[in-house]
Amino acid sequence: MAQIELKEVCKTFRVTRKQKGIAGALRGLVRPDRREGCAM
Amino acid sequence: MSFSIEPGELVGFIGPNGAGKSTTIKMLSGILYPTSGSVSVNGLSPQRDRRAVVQRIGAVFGQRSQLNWDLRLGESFELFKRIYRIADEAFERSLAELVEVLGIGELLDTPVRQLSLGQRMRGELASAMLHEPHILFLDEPTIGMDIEVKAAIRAFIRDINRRRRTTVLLTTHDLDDVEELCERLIIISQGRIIEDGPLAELVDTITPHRYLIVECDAGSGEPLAGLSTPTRRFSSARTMSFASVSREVACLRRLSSQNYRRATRCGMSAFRSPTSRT
Repeated sequence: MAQIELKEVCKTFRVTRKQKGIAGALRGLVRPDRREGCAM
Repeated sequence: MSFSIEPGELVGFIGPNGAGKSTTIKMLSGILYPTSGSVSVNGLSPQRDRRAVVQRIGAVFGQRSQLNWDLRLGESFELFKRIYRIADEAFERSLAELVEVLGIGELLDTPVRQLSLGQRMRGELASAMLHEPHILFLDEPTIGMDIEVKAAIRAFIRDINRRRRTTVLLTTHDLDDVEELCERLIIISQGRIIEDGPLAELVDTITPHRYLIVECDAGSGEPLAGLSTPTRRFSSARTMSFASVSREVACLRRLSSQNYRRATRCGMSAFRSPTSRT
C-alpha cells in the first residue's frame, strides 16, 4: 500500500488585484477584482 | 496531479520556481487544502486527521525556520519534545543519535539566532527527526549551503532513509542532491507531472547524448577513434559526443590506460557516472 498518495489533486488560489489610487482602493472595497490562479 | 510513494522510497521532486513543489508539500503536511482531488499520508487525510498525520511526519522548509530564535538549540528541542509528547527515554535516545550523526553536540547551548545557516539547518533536520517520523518532507534543505554542509546533510538523509527506512520526499534545485540521493525522480512544471520514474531511466531518456572533454598528450587520443564523434578539437583538448552511455563508459575505460591529463563531462555535470574521471 502506498504511504503517500495524491489523486487528481488540483489547487487554485484566489488573488485580489489592487487598483491604483484612492478611487481604486475604494472601488476595490466595493467590487474587488478577484482572479483565480492555478497552482496545480 | 497524481502520484504515489511507497514506504522507504527516497524521491526527488524537482521543477522550476512556481511549478507547485512547495504547494504539494504543504498539502501533504496539511498546511494547505486541495481545491479538488484527494491526498493521503499513511492512509489518513492530512487535512481531516492533521494531529495523527503530523505525529508521523517531519518537515523541513529550507527558507523557513521552525526553531525558536530566542531559545538555545537544546531548549528548542525540549520544546519539540513537549509539542510532540515524546517520552523522556525516547527523546534522550533520539537526541543522542541525531547529535552524533549531525555533529551538533557543541551547538546545543548556542542561541538559534547565533547559528550559521549550515548549523541552523542541521538543527532543523534534528528537530524534524526527534519524534522519529515515518515520512520526511524536505523543501530545499541545501539551499545556500556550502559544499561541506551539503555533504553532511546528504549523508544524514541517506542514513535515515537506509537505516530507519524513512520515506523521504526531497524538493531541490540542486541536481547534485538528486544524483547522490534519489532513486526515483518526479519532475513537475506548471502544476503538472512531466516525468516520473527511476533516475537512471530519466537521464537516458532526457539526455541520450553525452559529451566529454578530454585533454590528451599529442597523439595519445588516437586509440579513441571509432568510439566517439569528435565534435571539436583544440591543441590538446577534444570534445567528444557519445550516442550511448555504454560507449562513454568504454571510452573512459580505454582512457584509463592512456596518457591523458583530464576528462571532464560537460553539459551533464549533474549526472556524473561513477566511472568518470575529473
